[in-house]
Amino acid sequence: MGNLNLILFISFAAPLLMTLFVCKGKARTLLIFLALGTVVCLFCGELSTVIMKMLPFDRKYYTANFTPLFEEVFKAIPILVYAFLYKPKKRDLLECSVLVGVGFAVLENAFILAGAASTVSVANALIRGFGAGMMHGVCTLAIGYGMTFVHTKRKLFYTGTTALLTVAVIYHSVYNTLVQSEHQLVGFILPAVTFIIVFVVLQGMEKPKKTAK
Amino acid sequence: MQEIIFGLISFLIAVLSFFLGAVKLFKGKKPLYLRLFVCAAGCFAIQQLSYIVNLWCDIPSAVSIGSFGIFGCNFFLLSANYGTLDKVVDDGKGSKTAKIIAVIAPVFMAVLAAVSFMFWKNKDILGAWLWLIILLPSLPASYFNLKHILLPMDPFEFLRATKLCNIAAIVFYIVTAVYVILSSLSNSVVSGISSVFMSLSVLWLTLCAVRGAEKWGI
Repeated sequence: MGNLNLILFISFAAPLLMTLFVCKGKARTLLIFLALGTVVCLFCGELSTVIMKMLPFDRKYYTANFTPLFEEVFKAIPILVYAFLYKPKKRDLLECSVLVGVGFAVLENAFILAGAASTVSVANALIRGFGAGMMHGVCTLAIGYGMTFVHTKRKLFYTGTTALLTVAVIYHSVYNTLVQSEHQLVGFILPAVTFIIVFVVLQGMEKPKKTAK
Repeated sequence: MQEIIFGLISFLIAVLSFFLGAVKLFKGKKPLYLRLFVCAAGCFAIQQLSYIVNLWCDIPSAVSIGSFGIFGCNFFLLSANYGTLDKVVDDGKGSKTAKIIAVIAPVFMAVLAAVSFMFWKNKDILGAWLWLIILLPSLPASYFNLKHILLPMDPFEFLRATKLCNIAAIVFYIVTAVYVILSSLSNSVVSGISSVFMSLSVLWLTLCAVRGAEKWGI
């Protein structure tokens, strides 16, 4: 068998690539970002393997402290390029940010679940699917939010995005640490709780605007 | 065990700070400047969460990626003053005295960062460099904090609301640097107590932001 990661990537990315020719407008943009998420995941997976072999740390320490840094930085690149070059609307940028995270999570889940195919269950897939999906989505959403200031408040963009990137990396690190430990379930509950908090905060921020209208 | 207890106390204070600020400042049209203080508290809470999780899962936590929460926290405070407030209150013409005196703050923070580096150097050279990087954003952030404290208040009434926030931010930088120095001593009680003080300074920071929102005149 060849490189399993590459095989899984092709099986996800090829249908997405074909769909790009069919879809137009916003649907195409969203699909591009979903596909870009899978590309970033493949790249990070391979890069992580190479760097882990070079460093004197065990797998648990490495995935808790180094992997989140690479993944969040590389996930931010497509969003940064999009924000800089195309000046998208705030909502479009946020949606694309989430999709990079979701695309990343889809392929990462496939890598992990296929790697442990003999022991994995439907429950594992459900927990992993929702947990990792929400975690990656929330992290890239946070970074994407910082990037919405790229053309309007440049100073705030530099400092704010760095701060949000730091938050995303630490949050990712906490998740990775928990899911590798015996407290795995807490790790999967964490993104769900965060997702609810983010949702409630966003709703709270939207309400006064609607009332004002 | 002592580490976990102190870690939990610090975490609970940090979470309390964040939620208190979030409830008060993320409703309605509150100034972004003050909201960024709450974001700083949130970032600090995640750092404390990371510390506890590392202890709970037996991952060496003296210096981990979670420690960068302080780095992020300082960046949020820098965002508040450099990213949002500075362009409003400083048109580049007046207040030269304030700008010159404000340099004292980064110089003082640089001295504290150098001392923490010296303390950590003997224990763990990688840790020494990481803590130095983590403390670096407090240099420019403290400059803008002090500058906005010193700026004349007359033309900008809302600056009154920011003064106490800026004082609290400077206290937070100093307490953080002291925490870094004390944590190099490998005494869990000393570093635990300094961690609790760090969380308390974040709580004060949030309370100042909440009070600032009530005073905000524009």
